[in-house]
Amino acid sequence: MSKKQVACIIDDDQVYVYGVKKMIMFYDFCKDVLTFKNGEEALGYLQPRVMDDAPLPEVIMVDINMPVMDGWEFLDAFTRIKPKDGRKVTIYVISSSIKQDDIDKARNYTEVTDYIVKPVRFESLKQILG
Amino acid sequence: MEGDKAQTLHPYNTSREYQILDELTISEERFRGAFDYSGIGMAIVAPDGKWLKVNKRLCDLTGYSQEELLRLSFQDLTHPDDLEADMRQLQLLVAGKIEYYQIEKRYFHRDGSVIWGLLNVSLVRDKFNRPLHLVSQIEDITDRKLVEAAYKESEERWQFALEGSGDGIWDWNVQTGEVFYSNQCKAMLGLAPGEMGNSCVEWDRKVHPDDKDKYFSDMHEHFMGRTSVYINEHRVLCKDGTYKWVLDRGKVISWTPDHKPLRVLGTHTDISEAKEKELQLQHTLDIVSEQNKRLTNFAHIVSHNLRTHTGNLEMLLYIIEQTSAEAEKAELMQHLKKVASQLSETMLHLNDVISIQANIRQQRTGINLREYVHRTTEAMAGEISMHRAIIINNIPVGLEIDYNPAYMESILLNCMSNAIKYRHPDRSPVVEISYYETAGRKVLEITDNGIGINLERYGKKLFGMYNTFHGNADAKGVGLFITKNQVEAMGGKIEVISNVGQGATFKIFLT
Repeated sequence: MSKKQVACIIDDDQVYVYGVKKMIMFYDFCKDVLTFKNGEEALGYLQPRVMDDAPLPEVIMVDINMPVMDGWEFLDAFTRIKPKDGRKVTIYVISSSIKQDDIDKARNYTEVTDYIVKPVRFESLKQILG
Repeated sequence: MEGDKAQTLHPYNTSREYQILDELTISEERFRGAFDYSGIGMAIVAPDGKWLKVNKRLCDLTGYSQEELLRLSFQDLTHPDDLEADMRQLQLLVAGKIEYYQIEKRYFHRDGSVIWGLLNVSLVRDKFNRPLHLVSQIEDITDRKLVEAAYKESEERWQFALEGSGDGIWDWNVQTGEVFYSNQCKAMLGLAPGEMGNSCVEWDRKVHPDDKDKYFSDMHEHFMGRTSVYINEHRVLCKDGTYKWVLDRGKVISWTPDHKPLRVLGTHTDISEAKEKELQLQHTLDIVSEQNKRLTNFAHIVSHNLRTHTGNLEMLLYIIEQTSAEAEKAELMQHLKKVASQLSETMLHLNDVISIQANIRQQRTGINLREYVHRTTEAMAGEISMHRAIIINNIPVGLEIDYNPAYMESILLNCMSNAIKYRHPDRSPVVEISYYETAGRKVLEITDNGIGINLERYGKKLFGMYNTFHGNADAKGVGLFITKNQVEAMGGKIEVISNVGQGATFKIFLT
């Protein structure tokens, strides 16, 4: 499997974002990492690129609890605007929540590949991005 | 005598005399036939009571043979308890005071058992009007008497059971509306027997308004044949003005020819105590289940928040291990410190919440609400003057409420601070704090003219922990969560009404 070009992290926890980005760059899992503080910011970036046929991040890792627009709202919105062409975006929901309700809800989105409980370890990252 | 015709051997010597003899014979035979073959015991009895002549039936009844009976008198066979009455009647009969008498009395069978007889006695006098003999007819009513006794006993038992159980009985003629209410029905309501009339309206109008609909419809269902028995629980007004829970049960026991209910029998059982317990139990269940939900929710919050920070710690430590560059390590240490302090802070917040949850008997004292609002205004003086905010204190002077002082301070501070923080960019913040009572509950209301909250979108998450909606940098999102916990711990609730761009109103029910 070829190296991913761009990974996208949507999370308001700055330390966490710092840590994950560090690990990705360190192990050279992908060429670039985009980070957004909440769903709204992420959509602001993604939506025009979907419409303009521009390249999209291959992997999105989105948190659930964020201000302004949380993970669920982001997923709902993304489902509406997602590309109908061949550009594949793999989405992982990554959260500290261990509530079964959250896990089930995430898995119910067809766009979501899996739900990962924080902290994200090296092995998981490798699997997601490798 | 000389002139008489010579006496012949025939005692009768006129045809008329023969005729009378014939008639007598026939009559006597008829009588004997009736006597001998009667289905009722019959006897000719001497005035002193001796059996002179008895029929077969009487022998069967008493178990004696003819010869045995003829050696006895009726007194020998009579039950001692019934003898006196019998003799008295006999005396009256013999004295000519009565022409016959009829009594129910007991006889002893030859084998010692008791039989009941319906005795009918008449007197035959001789030509000098002296008592000649008695004619007695004795009908065996033993079976009937046994049934009567059993019935009486069962009715007594039933009465006793009903009285003992404390149930009232009612007997309703549906077509006329008349109802018999037993004394217990009335006593249940604290009424004397004369204080309630005999109409179904009497009870109907005492039924609690909230229970009336089901009361009537349950009876209707039974009338329609949809239920086999009528059962209904309702409150009924007692003499002292209070309501009491009653279990009403009944059944239609007779119908009119065109199949309308005619007579309904039923009971009233006082279930007020049981009902009280039931309601209390339900209330406790509700509280417990509410508590349970909160605890579960809280457990999730704790888990989530702690995991966030410890997860970060793990990640940072892992990275530190992997890197060798000193500069990198320094940067990472900074992050470590930040995470450690975030973890501390979370622990503090959680501790606050735990102490609210765990503090079962929240301390209350009388506090002057207006004074507290004033103090909060002073505490926020800096913010207020910086943003030129106007605080309107509408709390009535002298109003004292029983509340936890620390919580009240915290609640007021939080709400006022929020109101100013989320001010509208186009206008100076105005915060109005008022108090009123509605439906027996005390309400503290805080209204602002700020940017409002999109309740449709955030309504459910408004009071959750660490939920912020405006991207406001220093909004830690704990405030409303704590406020909600404090308000609920004091037995109240908090509601919010808001439209985006038009400010928000927080309604805090203090009770």
